[in-house]
Amino acid sequence: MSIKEKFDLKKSKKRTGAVGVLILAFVVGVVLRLFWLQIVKGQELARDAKEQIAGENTELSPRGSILDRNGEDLAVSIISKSLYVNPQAMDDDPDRWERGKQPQRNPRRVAANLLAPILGLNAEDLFQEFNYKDRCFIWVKRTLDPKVSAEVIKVLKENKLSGFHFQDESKRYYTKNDLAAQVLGFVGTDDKGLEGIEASLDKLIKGKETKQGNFFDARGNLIGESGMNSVQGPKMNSVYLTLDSNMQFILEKSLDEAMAKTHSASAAAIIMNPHTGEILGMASRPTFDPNNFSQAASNAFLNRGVAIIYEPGSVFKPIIGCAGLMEHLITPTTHFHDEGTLDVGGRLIKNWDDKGLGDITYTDVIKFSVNTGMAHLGLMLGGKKETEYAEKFGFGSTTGSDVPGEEAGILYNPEDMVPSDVATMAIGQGIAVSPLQMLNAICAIANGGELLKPFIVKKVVSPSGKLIIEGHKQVVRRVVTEEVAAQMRTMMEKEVSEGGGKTAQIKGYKIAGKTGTAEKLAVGGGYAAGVYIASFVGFVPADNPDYAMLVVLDSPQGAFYGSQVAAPIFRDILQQILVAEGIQPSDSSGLPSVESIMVQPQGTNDLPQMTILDSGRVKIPNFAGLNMRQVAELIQQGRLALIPHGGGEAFKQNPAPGTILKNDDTVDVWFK
Amino acid sequence: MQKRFLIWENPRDAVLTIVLCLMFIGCVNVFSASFVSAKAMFGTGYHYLYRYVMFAALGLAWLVVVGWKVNYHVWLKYGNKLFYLFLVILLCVDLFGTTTKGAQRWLVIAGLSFQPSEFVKLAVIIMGSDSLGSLLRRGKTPDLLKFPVNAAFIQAGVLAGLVLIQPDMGTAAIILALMILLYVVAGLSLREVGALGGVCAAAVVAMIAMAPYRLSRILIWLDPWRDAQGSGYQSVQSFVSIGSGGWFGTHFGMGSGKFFFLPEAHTDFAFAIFCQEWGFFGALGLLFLFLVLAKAIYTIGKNTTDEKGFLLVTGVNFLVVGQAIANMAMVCGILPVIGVPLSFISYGGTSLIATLGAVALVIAVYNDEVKKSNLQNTQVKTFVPRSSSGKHSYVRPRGGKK
Repeated sequence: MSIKEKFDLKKSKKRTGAVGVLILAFVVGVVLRLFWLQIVKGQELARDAKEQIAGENTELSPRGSILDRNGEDLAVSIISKSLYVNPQAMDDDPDRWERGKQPQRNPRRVAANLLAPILGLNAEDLFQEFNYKDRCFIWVKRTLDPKVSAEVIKVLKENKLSGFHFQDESKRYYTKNDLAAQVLGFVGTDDKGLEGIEASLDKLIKGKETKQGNFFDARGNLIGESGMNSVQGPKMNSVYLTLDSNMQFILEKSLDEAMAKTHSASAAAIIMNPHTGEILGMASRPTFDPNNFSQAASNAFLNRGVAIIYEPGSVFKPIIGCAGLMEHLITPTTHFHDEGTLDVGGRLIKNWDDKGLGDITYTDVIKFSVNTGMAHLGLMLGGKKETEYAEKFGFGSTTGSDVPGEEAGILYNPEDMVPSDVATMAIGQGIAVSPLQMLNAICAIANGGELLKPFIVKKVVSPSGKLIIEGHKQVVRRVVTEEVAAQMRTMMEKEVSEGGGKTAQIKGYKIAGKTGTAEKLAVGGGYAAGVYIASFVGFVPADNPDYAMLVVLDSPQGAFYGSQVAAPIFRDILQQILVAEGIQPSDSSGLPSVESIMVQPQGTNDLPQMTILDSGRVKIPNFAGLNMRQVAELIQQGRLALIPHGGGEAFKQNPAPGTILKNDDTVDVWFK
Repeated sequence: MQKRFLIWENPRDAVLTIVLCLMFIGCVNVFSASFVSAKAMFGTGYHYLYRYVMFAALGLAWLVVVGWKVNYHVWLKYGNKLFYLFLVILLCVDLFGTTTKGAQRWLVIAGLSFQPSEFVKLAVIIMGSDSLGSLLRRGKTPDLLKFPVNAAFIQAGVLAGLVLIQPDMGTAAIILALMILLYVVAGLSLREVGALGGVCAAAVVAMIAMAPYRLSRILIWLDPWRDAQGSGYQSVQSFVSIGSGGWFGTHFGMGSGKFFFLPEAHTDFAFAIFCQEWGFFGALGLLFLFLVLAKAIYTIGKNTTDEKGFLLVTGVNFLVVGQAIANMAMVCGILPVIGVPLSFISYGGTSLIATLGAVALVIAVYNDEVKKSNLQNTQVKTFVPRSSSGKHSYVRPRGGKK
């Protein structure tokens, strides 16, 4: 190649200028292109930009709480995180490490080993799940406790593990575990109430999802918020029950002991305020922990306070007694000659011991639960009147309460009743009632003759404080006159103070009650041999009752009479409640009164003390010589449960003084 | 030599001022473009900002040393050795380098990672200036087909090839383009320039014929919306970011592109984020700064009497400004997407230090030229070897300040 002209620095500089002009052409191109994109197409592209960051996020409102009458939480929902994984996205993303710092590892293995101990799962199982590479969504674990999810987040972040995501879900916590389990019911994983109040008020308290427009980055995280933070929606309605968790606690504890002691197949206990119809406590056995309802036997879900029917037996006698009084067939002093048995149309009605008491009054008939006397009264009333009064007292149909799952019970059709039916109905046989029905009928006697509609929902309150539902006293009808009710209360008080219900006595308190023992109906009809239902119903104080309570034990083993098994339980429960609620004894003779304790402040220094240890456990002192109130206070300090026996001064205790107990352990103390 | 440049005392001050301005804009933009991804990855949104500032400090220290303390002929002297040095380094990268996003570009030494290919760009300019400068000084014409005058081209080709197999097509293209531009400036015959263009076009056609997927690449370049969620995604996101900026932009920090929509938001596509947040006027301002920088560097080159120095300054101009404009053209879709950073604005530690090193060479050439003219003023003979032909005389310094 020949060089035609010498090329030098000057020419070189000229060429540089020429190349510069070429580059300038590119600059012009860039400017024109920017003008096109930003000005001509600007609005369209701005809309595209907005569209791709716009999205909706779901705000979860957790399910409304259920509380007791004093506002103590029974069931609360919190938003918890459920962990899921996309196994296809678990490979390490090199962008998450600084250059050269990406470790050589199997992220699936690392994730399985790190997460297994936190989640309480098996590492091998997790590893296997993480290797399902044909799937893109696997729940690892749902509704994690906040502490667990926080730890998971930390571990995932620290180890830069990909593919894991959280979904907010509402999780129900039953703060007092099995307390009132059958009343509360439980909630399935889809936030649907499946049993109890949870099911009956599902619509009112069900959690809600509200969609809200928001901005998201390309990875689907909310812009401006860390995607790990959950957004909580507005709160839901709260349900306040009429239950008192202190009383409920006593009920539950006592039923546990009763079950252990009597080996009954099942049991139920209800406490009501007879003047308002409020259900203060309602417990059922067998029971379950709604926090782990899936592990419970399904028969544990049944609220036996309302959902079973049984033959009431002698507990029904006050009802027929009232009918007799109302119809002026008898007075408390009307005489009856008891021969021990009574032949009614070929059927022999017998007293419990087959023995006759001779010449007695109708007060004695109730007091000693005399079957012959009641059968006689029944026959005087006739089947029609019997059934009429039974219906008036609310039998044969549900009480109309708001407790879910109520049974109606069974009465005779008066047209079909033969004399033996009339006679046996008077002693509570041949009919079936639910425990709530039975207690509610007794409440009518206790409150002076008005049948009330029992209720358990005190109020439903919206988040803004508006009352959506308010439970209140509802009189269904007047059943008996004040006078008849008073007469029956006296008769029932005598049953406890002098008659068959002595085992329910509490020193210093006037208690009215009635025992009941009935043979259990067999599944196929007729009676199951040797299987009984023992019950005790009563109220206190007898003349103007604060509480009415029913205890029903189904198939107790060994002793089976209501007076033997149900009445002592009734007494133990009531004793604790009276102490806890500070109900004054009506007769304080032989008992140190509350005042007498209060005027001796120096005495408190000499009181034995609960020693609360660092571990939260408590060492119990010697309670000997203390009265029930003092013992109860100490027991409360230590957050233990008191099982008092008898009344007066403590003289014996179990466990022994100096024993170290943990919360909710029980202490038996005997008083005399 | 020390004539005024626009508002500045001299073009060197102009270069320094604009570079500092660009670095400030770079800092701000890197932070805005990266705080979302940095927060996600490192737990702090400031990660890239801190590192940018750190590398900038390192680079500026390097700039002072190279610009004022070392005669640039020292670097030219090592031109040939630089080739072998980078040959070894690039082989090391290809053999032992760290792989990120499917490309093996990084060497990690004592916990610090380097991208040697960024320094290769600078090395190529030094190699080219040295060998082509001496040709120019001797009045010889370079030729891409004749040995040994094409030695520098072949060396650049080898280095570009080693970069290409990392693979890093953008950097390889820049390396080769820088050398070719130096050849063109040094007097490559226009016939060969034309032929080169023809060869390139033929190569493109041949490559498309060999692998049809390349055709779809080209079609995607022309209309990225045809696969907006796939291979056109990056371009579409880039356009959406740029376009949504409008006249004045969404203002600092308010752009949406960085929320993981636009890949490489703080590196190769930082310009898109800049356009989104500062709008058309902001983009014009940035372009204007680069053009003033180009003009200032060009002025320094124009006043350089040394052939090698002149080529060095010109090469740096192509590297710093030419690469920037190529990046902008790529981001807004005029050029296909190849990895070319935007000088000072894109985040990249090695790139920033290499770019500041390049600017330092311009300053060194300027300072040397000033020294020379001052020596001439004081009637002292210069040590600098000059063209034997002596066909032209030195530009007389006017109004020397000293």
